[in-house]
Amino acid sequence: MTQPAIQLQHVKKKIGSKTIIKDLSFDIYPGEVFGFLGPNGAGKTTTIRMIVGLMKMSEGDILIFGKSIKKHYKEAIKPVGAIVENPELYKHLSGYLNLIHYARMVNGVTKKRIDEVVELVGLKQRIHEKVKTYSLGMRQRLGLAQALLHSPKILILDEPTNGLDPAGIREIRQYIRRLAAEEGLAVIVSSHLLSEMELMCDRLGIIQNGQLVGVHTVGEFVGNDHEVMVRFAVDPIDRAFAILSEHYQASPQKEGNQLLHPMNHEDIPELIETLVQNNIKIYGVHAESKTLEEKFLEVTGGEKIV
Amino acid sequence: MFKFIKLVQNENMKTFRRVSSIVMLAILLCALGGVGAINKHYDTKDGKQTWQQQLQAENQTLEKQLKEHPNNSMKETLAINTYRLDHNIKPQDRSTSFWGNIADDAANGMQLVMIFAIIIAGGIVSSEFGSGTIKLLLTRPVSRSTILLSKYVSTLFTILVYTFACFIFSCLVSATFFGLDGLSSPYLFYQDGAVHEGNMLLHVFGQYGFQLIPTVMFVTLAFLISTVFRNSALAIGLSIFGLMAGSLVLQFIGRFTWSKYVIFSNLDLTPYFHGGGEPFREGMTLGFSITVLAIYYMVFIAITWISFKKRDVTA
Repeated sequence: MTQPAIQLQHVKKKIGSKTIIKDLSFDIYPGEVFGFLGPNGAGKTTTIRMIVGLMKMSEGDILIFGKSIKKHYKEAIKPVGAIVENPELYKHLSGYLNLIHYARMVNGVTKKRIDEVVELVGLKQRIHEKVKTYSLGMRQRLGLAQALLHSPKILILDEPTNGLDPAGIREIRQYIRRLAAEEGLAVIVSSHLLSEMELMCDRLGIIQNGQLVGVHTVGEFVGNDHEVMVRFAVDPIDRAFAILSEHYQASPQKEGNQLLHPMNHEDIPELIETLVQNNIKIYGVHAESKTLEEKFLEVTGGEKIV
Repeated sequence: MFKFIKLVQNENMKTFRRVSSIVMLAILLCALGGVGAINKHYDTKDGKQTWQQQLQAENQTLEKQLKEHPNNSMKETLAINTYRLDHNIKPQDRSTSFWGNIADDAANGMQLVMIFAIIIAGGIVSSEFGSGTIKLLLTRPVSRSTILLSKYVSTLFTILVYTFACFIFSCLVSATFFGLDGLSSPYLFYQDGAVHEGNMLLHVFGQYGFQLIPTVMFVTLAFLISTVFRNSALAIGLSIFGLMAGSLVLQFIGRFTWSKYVIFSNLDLTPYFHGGGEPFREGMTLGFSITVLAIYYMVFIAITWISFKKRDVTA
């Protein structure tokens, strides 16, 4: 088995008498995009801050490629590139000087590498302008550029698509997926855009009230239900309704000229056959799986933010 | 080590790419120029007498007063004046002479430099917290202490830049308003019953040196508050208040013996050197003051570093 990129071992965080993170343990492997989900105030950002060493944990340890962030911070943090919350950069400096600034803090980042990264995030046209003239999306790109400068093995992105336009979101998503697939990076992403997480991540860790509620692959999390809601666009609708009632002793819902019927996934072809044999015209069949959002609310109990 | 220089370079870049840092230099130049211009303007009034006549007149008054109230500083002035007349050395201690103006600026200009340095020191740590950039700064393979040290070293470097700028501006203003004659004249001082000649440039550097001591102390204080409270306004405000209120506080507590352990009573080291007046309290020596300052300094530095290393970053 490959060595995990990041291991959280019974991590706890107390602030005063309040325990904010209660015994968090999970592993993240190279080549995967790990989504970190949770309602506001669940402890996502606190966990990320502990991983990158901005906050100290009260108990437990975090290992990055086997090196403890507690004991060997400088060694452990080397392969990590991160954006924690918003990418806050020096507004009175140009984008390029910001990158020079971060390049000076690690060994072995050449001018060529800086140009490469600038090209990659698509900021070439504006890189010599001051950051205060940048839009949120451009700052997001510059933030990503500084995280990628030293060719990290682990990328930690808090809300990476925040403020990006749809084209930008798609671009970043594809880029993150490519980094994970081709260069074997471990990527941790947190986002409140659930549909975005569904497209970007391999596994999801759900955190609530400082506890891990579950770690699932995206497939098993959203697509694995046997019973699905199936939507039929049919004509004539009344006869179809009658057939469905007759064959399945069920009462489908009518919605305009569509029928909604909950059923097992594997029974769909048979039902279509029956409908066709009864001379019913079928314009569309759509199986609706539960969205990540519904599932997420189900898992977290739709709990209100305290 | 090589990396540390790069970190300091980063901090310097962040400081000197700010418009406010350049504006402060401009203010310094205007202030020194303004003072020079005013001195020049009022100088023309008693221009009829030669300096020899002025000194002779001054000596006559001094001799008369000395007979009534014997006084050390008058005696010294008299001796130096006589030495000037004997050796034909034009006085350079008036603020309207080339060196006199520069020596004045070493005191007055440095007051501005102190305030500017406090402003920069008060913001150098807290502004990173204010803008949130601290998160990106501290998630690098560099320890927190090293980051803080680079910021402190950069602050000291800024003091040197401003002090040097103050000196250069001062020389330019002096040369413009008062001309360059007297450039080579010596610095005269009275010691052990005789007048000696010293190097004028060294004397001026010495004056700057004395001013750098309170500057470094107040800047370190501002740096401390900036780090502990993560608030620029508080750091700048409190430090400048200390700078201004120091002498008032001394007047108030001067009657107590313990007042000699207060930082303000040790900031001025000139009394321990020739021509500098009396120490704040009897029995205070150069060694005593340096020890007291060193203890304050180490406490400031310790609090700053411990606070920066230990605390969580929640910005």
